[in-house]
Amino acid sequence: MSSKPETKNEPVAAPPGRQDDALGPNSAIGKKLRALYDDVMSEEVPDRFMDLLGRLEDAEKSSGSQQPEDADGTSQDKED
Amino acid sequence: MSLSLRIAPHLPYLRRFARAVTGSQTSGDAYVSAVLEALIADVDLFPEASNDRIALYKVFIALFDRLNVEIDQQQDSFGWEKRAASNLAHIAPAPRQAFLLEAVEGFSAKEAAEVMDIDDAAFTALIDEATRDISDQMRTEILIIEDEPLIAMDIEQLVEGLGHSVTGIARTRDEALDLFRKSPPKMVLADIQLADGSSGIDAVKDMLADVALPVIFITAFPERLLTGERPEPAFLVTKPFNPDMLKALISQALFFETQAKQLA
Repeated sequence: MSSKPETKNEPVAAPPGRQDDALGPNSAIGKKLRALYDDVMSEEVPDRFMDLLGRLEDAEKSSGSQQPEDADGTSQDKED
Repeated sequence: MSLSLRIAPHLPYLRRFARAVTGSQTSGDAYVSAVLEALIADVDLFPEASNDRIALYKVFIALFDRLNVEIDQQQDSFGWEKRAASNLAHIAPAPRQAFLLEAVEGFSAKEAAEVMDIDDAAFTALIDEATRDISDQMRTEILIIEDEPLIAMDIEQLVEGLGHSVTGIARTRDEALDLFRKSPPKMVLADIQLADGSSGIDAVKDMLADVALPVIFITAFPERLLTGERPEPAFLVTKPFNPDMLKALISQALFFETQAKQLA
């Protein structure tokens, strides 16, 4: 049984109510870093990552299908 | 739900983290790709964790540690990013990751410890190390231009409280330039309206003609900065100032406007 147990699947954004005190005197630097990286972060994922995600999907299907055949990568179950 | 669907929503955040931890989007993305390639090669590599975001970051950290990356200062980075990267590069990889997981990614200490596969005490130690490293690195010499003695004293105490040293307190433009030449500071905190009617803005302009250094104006007359040509890089704090705000601004200006090698 190679299928994974589903872990909790909440879309986790940066939690808003966190305490910065842990970073002590450098919390100001931490806050500014977060603001700057937030600004340049793009929600859009470049194509090559989408390709990789597609390949991951295929890899998961072939490993999850549990065929006791040669691990030849020939998966017939393409259900697009 | 398939693994790729579970991972997809967290990819933008992982790319942000990878960028912060490596110093540029290009090298950050190389690591994110490596994470996905590793999962494609072995989907069972995806660990069980409290949630998918933590699991994904766990894969990244494990891979990152194995590959032992040097921080990169790429051409594609912004000015602030290069400076931040150069300052972050002085923190060892593990405390740097801990700091960024908390500061930029917004993980709680408990979640970040899970990502790094260490216990809470070990994580706290890493954060302490990062904080100490940053403070040590930022420690520098600061010139104060302020003609009111009580305010000058307040500022001096505040600056020393942050671990910096004060090269001197000037009351006029001439005094300021004199002190500036005698013991060159790495940062200037300047009032605008000075005792003899001279201007802190003029003093700062003269200084910036020779070297680039971060300047914070502390003034009750902010409009005088807005009308004249404003020297760059300059920050503004209005009087009466909030000590915490001034402290935060000093730390930010030193971190984001100064490269570590200049400070050394």
